[in-house]
Amino acid sequence: MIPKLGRKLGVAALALILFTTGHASAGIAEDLNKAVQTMENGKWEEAETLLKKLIVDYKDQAFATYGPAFGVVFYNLGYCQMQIQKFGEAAKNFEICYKEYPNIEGETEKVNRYRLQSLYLWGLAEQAQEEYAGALKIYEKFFSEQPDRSEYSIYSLYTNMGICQAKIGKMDEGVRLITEVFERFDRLNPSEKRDIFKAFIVLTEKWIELNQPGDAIKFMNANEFALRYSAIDTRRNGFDQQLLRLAKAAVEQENLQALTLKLASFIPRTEDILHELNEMLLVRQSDSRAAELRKQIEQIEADVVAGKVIDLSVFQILANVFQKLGNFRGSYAIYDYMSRRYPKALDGEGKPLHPRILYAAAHSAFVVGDLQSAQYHALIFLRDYPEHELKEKVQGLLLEHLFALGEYERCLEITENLLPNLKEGSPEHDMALYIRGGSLFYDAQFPEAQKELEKHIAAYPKSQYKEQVTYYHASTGMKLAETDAQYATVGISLDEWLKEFADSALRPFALLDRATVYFFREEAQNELALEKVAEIESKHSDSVILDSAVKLKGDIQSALEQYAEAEESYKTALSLAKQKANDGVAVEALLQLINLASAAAAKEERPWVEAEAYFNDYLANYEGNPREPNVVASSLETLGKVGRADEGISRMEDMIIRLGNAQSADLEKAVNTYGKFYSDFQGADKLIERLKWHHTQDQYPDRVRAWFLALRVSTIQEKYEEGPRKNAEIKVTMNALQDFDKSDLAPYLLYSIGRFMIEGGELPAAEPWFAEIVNRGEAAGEATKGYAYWGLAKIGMAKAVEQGNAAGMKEAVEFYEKLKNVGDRNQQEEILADIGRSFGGLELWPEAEKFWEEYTQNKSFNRFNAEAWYSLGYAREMGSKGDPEKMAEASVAYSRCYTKYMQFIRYSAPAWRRTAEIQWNRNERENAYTIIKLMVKRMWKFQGHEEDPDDNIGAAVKLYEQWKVDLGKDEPDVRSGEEEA
Amino acid sequence: MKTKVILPLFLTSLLAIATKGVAQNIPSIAANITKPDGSNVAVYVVGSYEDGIMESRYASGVQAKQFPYSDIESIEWREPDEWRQANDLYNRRRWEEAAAAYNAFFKKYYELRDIEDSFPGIAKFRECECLRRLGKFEELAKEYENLQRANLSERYAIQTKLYSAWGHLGNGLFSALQLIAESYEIEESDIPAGIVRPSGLPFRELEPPTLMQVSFLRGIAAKNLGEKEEEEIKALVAKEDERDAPEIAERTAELKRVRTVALNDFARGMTLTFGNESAVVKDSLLNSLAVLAKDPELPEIDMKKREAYSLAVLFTKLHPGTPLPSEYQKFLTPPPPPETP
Repeated sequence: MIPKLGRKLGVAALALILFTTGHASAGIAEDLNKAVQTMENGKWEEAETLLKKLIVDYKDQAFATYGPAFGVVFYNLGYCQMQIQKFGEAAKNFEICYKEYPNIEGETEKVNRYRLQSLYLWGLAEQAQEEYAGALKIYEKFFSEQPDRSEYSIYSLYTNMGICQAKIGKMDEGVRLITEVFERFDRLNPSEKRDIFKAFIVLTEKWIELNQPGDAIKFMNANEFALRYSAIDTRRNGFDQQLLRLAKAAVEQENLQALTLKLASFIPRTEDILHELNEMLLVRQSDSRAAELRKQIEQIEADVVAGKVIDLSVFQILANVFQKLGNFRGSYAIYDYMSRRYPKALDGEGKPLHPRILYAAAHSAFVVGDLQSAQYHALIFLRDYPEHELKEKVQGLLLEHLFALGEYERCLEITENLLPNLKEGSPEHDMALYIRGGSLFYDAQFPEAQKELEKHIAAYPKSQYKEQVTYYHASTGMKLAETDAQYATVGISLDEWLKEFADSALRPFALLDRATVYFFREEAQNELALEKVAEIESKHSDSVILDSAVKLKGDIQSALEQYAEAEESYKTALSLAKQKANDGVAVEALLQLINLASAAAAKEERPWVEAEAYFNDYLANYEGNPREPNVVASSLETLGKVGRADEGISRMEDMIIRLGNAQSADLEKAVNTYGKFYSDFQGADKLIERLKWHHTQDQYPDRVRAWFLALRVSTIQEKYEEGPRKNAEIKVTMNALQDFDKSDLAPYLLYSIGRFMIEGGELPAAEPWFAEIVNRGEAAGEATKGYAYWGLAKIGMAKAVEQGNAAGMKEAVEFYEKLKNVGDRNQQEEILADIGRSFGGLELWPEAEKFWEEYTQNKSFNRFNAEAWYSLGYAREMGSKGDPEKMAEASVAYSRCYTKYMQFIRYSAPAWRRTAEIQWNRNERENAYTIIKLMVKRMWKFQGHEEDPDDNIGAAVKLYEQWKVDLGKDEPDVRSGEEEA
Repeated sequence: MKTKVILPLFLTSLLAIATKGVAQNIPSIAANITKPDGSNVAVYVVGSYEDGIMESRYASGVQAKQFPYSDIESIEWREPDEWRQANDLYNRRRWEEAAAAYNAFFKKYYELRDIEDSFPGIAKFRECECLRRLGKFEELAKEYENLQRANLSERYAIQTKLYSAWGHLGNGLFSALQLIAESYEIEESDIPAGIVRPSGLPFRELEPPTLMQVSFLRGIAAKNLGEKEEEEIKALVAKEDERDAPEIAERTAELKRVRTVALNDFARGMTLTFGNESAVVKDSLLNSLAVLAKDPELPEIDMKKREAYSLAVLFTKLHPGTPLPSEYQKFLTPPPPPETP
């Protein structure tokens, strides 16, 4: 710090004037006057030149002629040099004034009146050169000279001495001196007040350097009133920038966070300056002054809007401090405010700062767990800065928030767009892929989840999300498992996971999955399952899935026919689920309790009212639950038994309408259950009438009315005797079904109607019902589209066969190819066999061979194996056109048919016979005879069997007898002996 | 030195001053009145009546006469010595003494309180500010009633309303405090479509000192609301009635949100004016610690432990002579460093 000259230390003009006018020659007087005048005009460099020349011109005779008074020339020269910061030269000149021009005792005229001031200014000059120890000695010398108090400011002296003490590391002494001045703050003039603030700055610099925040804060607390200037004065004196500089220095150091905050607290907000300026306008001002104030206000307001104010720097320091302290809430409060206050702020490079502020706000809020606020800022960011370079980070942040909040659908939306734009192998990609897999998992999209999770496991084997990802993967495997082998594999995965992540928060979930897998195995490992449940109960009793675990225990006990124990478990699960408001588990437990109680009542072991009580519990607490169809359906018998059959019927009807409105897939099941119950309690005729009545209820959803009609058809088919009445009723009902607007009906109902029509032989009429499903695209659902492809393939084949050409077959094959992607195995198998048959029917043998071959090669198809091998052989034979190789291939297929599926006489008999004939025709007569002999031996007893309408067995017997003769075989007839092994 | 205050001509709701005869040595404040024609008259103002001021030509205030507002263009007040002294104490942040000085000033010049933005009115306003700074909110609530008797212009209105809120804090009227705090919030419908609301609704645009106070006060209201909610939830849990489970779950989630609002608002109280009100900073620190101390998630969540630690450390460092309350001493133990993946 460069010390300023005290107010009592000024240009020694008056002394010089007296001196020059009284004793000097005209030349020196003129030169001195000119120099002083120049000093008074503030032309310090010019004055310095004049004074230096004056000294050169007069120095030799100076003391002799002018006595000590000439020292004033050096004082003035030093004074000029202080102004132009030539502190070294100034110090020398003050020293000369003080040392070489001492006053002479008794001399009253040629007096060096500025000798002591020179001493003081010499100290200032040394201090300005950072020669603090030297300066201190000079100040002490000055003080020892007992200068007249009117000639200098004792406060400035103390201030400067305090600064020097602090600078040489004697903080205690420095603080003592400066504190003495602060204690007399009221007596200080404005200049001294500014000086003492600067001394405070020096002290603080040292406290920061020495890392002594406690002393600094204590000092600031004690002198707060003196350190707080008005906002305008703080700004005008540049104190705010000084404080900011100190705060920046402090924030970089360990342990100085509180000091940083304290320093920042002395910086006024820019709005405080605006407030003070506006207050000034309320006081009468001259027009020009008022205009100037208004201009200042406008400029500052513009700066605030543009974010060009000191406040931004201070806020960023504060945010930094809070983060260093581990208090992200403080930084959140700051960034949240800044995001609203400085929407147009720019950073040091002139780029918009606002997006970074929003990001910082979102990040801080996320860290403190305020996910709602984090989401708020992240969404504003993404809305306002969709192309910003931080977009991916914000999306990532938002993803974590949304994932933690369970907003899985939104996570999926974001990751779908985000993942292709992220660099594979980057932490962002790792996280986004994890969240995508996790979201699919929690959203119960298990097949998709499995794919994504497998990608993650392959790409990031050391990911920080490994624990979660591998669990989700294993759990997904469990949910998708269908075969025992798959359950076995999942079980191993879960065991490995439980071993590797023994302390994971997900452990109870994995234990529950493991228990479920044990329970689901073909040979259920119930004891092991119960062990896992027991671990959940004992070690994870606060887990959210405890109720599910206890409910599973009930299921296992039920399976073990430990019904009393199972009931207790379900009751416990119900109680736990109620406490946690876990309706899903509560309703499942109630459902099982209803089932157990009603089963016991049916065996007359317990009264029906116990089951009724559980049903009443359901009604009181969970009515409207998605599982209601099951609950009501399970309770129907109970309701019937306790005299509430009408209520049961009524509830089922209400529920069916609700399911219809909700487009629930359970609608069909509910309608069927309703039909059975109604029929049991009211009789089939009344049901058929009731269903007719339902059809007239226009307020029902169409899909419900349609299902009731479908039920009516099946009930008539089942209950009515064959005859015109039955046919007529079915016809009428089917016609009514066709009146529905197909777009109102659920895909499965469309399929059911279509299928019903196919089964009724009305294939062309069925086509629009299936076409409607296909037209719905994705909305129809994969499985339902499978039904449609099934139906359309059937219709195509029927058309082809009817018209006797292959055009329809092309269409049918196309639907079959689509069916292979979406349909179930049974449908695929059925259609593939139909295609083989149809090509055969059309005598398109290569095509028939191709599809039968496909059938026989599919290991999972087995419903038509005998037919397939026979038909394959037949297609090859018919398509051979005499080619012996082809005939041989046909023989192979035939032989597979009769060797493996002899019991299917319809196919094995002709296959066997044709194999023998082919061999005979190929001149393999011995072989042919052996084959026909074996056939006769095995099958002669079935001659005339209805499955052999073409009497292949009879023909085989004739061939056997003929060939025996032809080949001269003298052996007993195979029909008389025992069967060969 | 004269303080020049331009007094608008439109003054309403002024209470009449008794004009039946002015007692001797009535306290008066010297002023210079400028008439609409530009002429000036030096007077001693002793009070007001419905349509103007009561002025005397004598410092003792004797022989006061009515001077209608219609004849006044502006008034330039001369600062009484007591006013200067009180302001000096105020500027030096000697709140206790300044409050007493303003209180005495208001009493002495009570009859002038109906003149808009006259010294007694401002004195009462500043006394309220002193009491606020001192944390004497109960006393502030009482003085707020006197402040209502003063005639202050619109520019004092925002802070005056806040004094009523601080008074509610003093009287423990947290619901009223909550209502005032909410009156500064934006409407939920103002949050743009597609943007979710943050845990606490943002405040409307306010000057930083106002915003800082409103934040702190909403934090206090939220903290109190949370404490009441917690008690009620505990009572529900104690009933052990399964039917209450959904309500308990819902209210527990809401309690978590309310705690977040309180903590966020206290953080605003500490930062928005750079912490220039040390008393608010101190109260914010202690109230934050109180909220965290009751948070059941504290033992489980590292970030909350670190937050509590940082607040406790800040308190001790910023207030070297004030011990941290014993119930929060435990937070001074540094939490273990966060686990690294």
